[in-house]
Parts: sequence; structure tokens; C-alpha cells
Amino acid sequence: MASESISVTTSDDQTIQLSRKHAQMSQTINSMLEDSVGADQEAIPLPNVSSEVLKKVIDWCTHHENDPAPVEKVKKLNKKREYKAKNSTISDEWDKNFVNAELRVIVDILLAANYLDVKGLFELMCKHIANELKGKTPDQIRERFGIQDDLTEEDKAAMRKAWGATKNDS
Amino acid sequence: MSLRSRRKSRELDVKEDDFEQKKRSHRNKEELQVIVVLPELPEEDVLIEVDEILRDTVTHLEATPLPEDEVIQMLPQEVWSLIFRRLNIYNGLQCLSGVCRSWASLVESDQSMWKDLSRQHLGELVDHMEWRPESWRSFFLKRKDQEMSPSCLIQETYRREPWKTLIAVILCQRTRGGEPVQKVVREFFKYYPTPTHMVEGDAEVMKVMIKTLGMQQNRIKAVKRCCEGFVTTEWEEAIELFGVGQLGHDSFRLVCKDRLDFTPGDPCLQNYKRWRLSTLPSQTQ
Repeated sequence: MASESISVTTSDDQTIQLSRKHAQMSQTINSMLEDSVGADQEAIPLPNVSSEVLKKVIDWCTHHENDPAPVEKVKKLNKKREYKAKNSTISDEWDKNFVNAELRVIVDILLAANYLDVKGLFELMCKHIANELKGKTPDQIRERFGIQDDLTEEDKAAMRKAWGATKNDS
Repeated sequence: MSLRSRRKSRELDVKEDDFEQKKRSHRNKEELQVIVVLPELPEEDVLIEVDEILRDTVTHLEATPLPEDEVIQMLPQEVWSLIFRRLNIYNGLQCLSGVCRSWASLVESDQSMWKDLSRQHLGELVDHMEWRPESWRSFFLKRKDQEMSPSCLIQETYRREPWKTLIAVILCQRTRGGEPVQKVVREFFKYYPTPTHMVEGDAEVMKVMIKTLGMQQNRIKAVKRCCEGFVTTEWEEAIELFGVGQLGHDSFRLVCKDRLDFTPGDPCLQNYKRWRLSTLPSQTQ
């Protein structure tokens, strides 16, 4: 393979250089690279990612470039416990700082990670949002994420019934 | 069979979790006030102007906060569904569907999520069933409990996992049900965490594990057939399952499904029912 760095064009028409190693952490870019062997002078267009977000993604890639590849899940017996462990809090200090950002930024990064198919980053963002949701009442969630309450009283009553709220059906 | 269960340590864990979360969300709020996203600056900007633009945008953004509603709409449904899967069924999904319409329909319609949940809790037997449930959601909710409350019956320890309640009753019938018995049951569930594990488990090993309870031959036979029936057959009442007697039936209805419309035969269950009624709002009595 030829050059050590790869250039990409973002949605706001900026050209950004990133190292091959980082580029390959994104499955999307990686497969584009494989498709166009030989013609690697051209910048790869990323119409769904802005330069600002891409920089964040590169930050993350730089920090995690030496992470071992995710290990396939092990024993069958431990599955349940693993499921719980998967839910648990973000352990890496750097990651904690990384996700400590405004909701808009978080969502942008999550979308970018989804589009670029950067597994670890996508997982991290999902985990973060899940943690934000955890243990909150619907009201608190609406407040935190600025969601309109468009459910009618009937909807809510039907829902209570469907979920088997037991206080009314003795 | 009123058996003391140890829930304390679990409760402590939960409290710590809550505390951590509060701390975190608090920090996030502070952070939110500090971070302001600056718009892209055009490249040909002269340096002197930059300062002005910065100041302008900052005041502008402070005046009108970002419409976060739209931010949420930006995420595609698949992503939300992945996020929802990370949440525990009890404190999670019910609460999520109470937030807004799109989430409610997402939670309700996501069959594969409910199937995954079923598999997580019941094991791989769900993949090898003769019949397809019309809705994985009701499949899951029927075989899984939704409510929690503190008490001291062993059935209650496993109330969130109805199949465990049935198995625990099979294991504890005709024992004193003290701490040693509970320990055996706990260990047993640790090694066989889902009905699938129970069905596939080596009967001889299982017999040795519960030897101290007595009647291991019959108990294991009942356990295996009950587990298989529990997951793979279409049943209406728990008593239709092999190995489930009146006590199991009553425990299942009363403790797991919280049905209070009958009088259980067992005195301990009667006590439980009395307690349960006393916790309800008065108009239902």
C-alpha cells in the first residue's frame, strides 16, 4: 500500500488528512480504500460528516488506536452476567471526559460513528446515552432530552394496562 | 415455607448506582452551561474579526437554546433500538414508552428486541420452538414478571423470573426452607441460569448438587420437564406444567403475576397476600 496518510473531504468542503491506521478503524473508509486500490491520491468524500465532528472522531481514534480488537464473547454459561456487564458504566477516564459534552455533539458523533462504522466509538456513545436514560422517570427523560409529551391520557392508560400494571386489576 | 432471603447486598448496589448517576447528571448540567458550540468560520476571515464573531455567536446562542427536540429526531430508529437494548427491562422499557409516541411505538414494535430479551432470560430454546409467538413482547412479558416488592418468601426472591419461582418451589417443597436450603437453590441457579441450561444440564451432576434437599431423583425430573414445558409449550396456567402443584400454582399466580383474586392454601402465601393488599391504594380493596 502506498501513502501513510489519507485525505477525506467533509460535508463542509474541508479536506482533512488522517493516518491510514485511524482511517482503517472506520469500516466504511476501510472498504472504500480496498475498493480503490491504486487510485489513492483522490480524497474520499464523506458527505455526512462535518469537519468538526470528524476531528472529534479522530481524537477518539488517536486515543484508542492501540486497543486490542474486541474479543468474541466467551462462555455460554456467563452470557447473562456479561449482559449485565455490558450495561455497566464507562470505565475509561478519557472516555468519560469525551462523552461529557453537549447532547447535540453527542448525537452528531453517534451519527458519524454509525455512518463511518467505528464500532468502539458507536458502542461508547450508545452506552453513554443508555446511561443517561437509566433510572430516570419519563418526566426526567423528557426534560433531559427536550422531548415533547405527545401521549394522551388514553394512551397512557392503555399502556399501563398492556404493561401489566397490577394495581387496578385485582 | 417462609424463608428469609438476603436482598440487602443487592439493595446496597442499587443505591450506589443511583448515587453515581445523580452525581453524573449533575456534572453534565454544569458542563452544559459552559460548552457552547461555535459555528464554522469561513476560511477567509481576518483575525481581528474573529473575536467579534465569537462574541456575537456566544450571546446569540445564550439567548436561544438549541432545539434539542430536533436533535433527538436526528437519530435513526435503529440506533435508538440499539440504545434501548442496553437498558434493563424493569426500569427501562416501560419508562421509555411513557416518554413520547415515537418511543412507545418503537418499543412496542421492535420484535427482534423482545426476542433478544427472551433469549437473554430464557436461553436458546426460544430459537428452537415449534410455534412462533404472534408478539414476542407478550411472549416475554408472560414468562417474565414486571413488578417488585420487598418480602421474605423464597418465591419472592425469584419473583422477577417466574420460572425460577416454579423451580424454587419444586426444590423447596418438603424441606425446612432455612438458609442451608436457600444456599443450595442459589448455587443451583448460578450453575443453570436459564431454563435452557436446566434442560441441557447433566442430570447426575444436578442430583448431586441438590442431594441435601432429598428426593433428588424426582426433583430433577420435575425440574427438567417443567423448564422445557415452561419455554417451549403454549400454556395458560402454570399448573399445566409438569411438576407444578397447588403450591407452585398459587405462588406463581400470587407472587409472580400479583393476582389477588383467590385465596391461597399455604398459610405463608396467605400472609403474603394480606401484606400485598395492605400496600395497595385503598380503593381496590
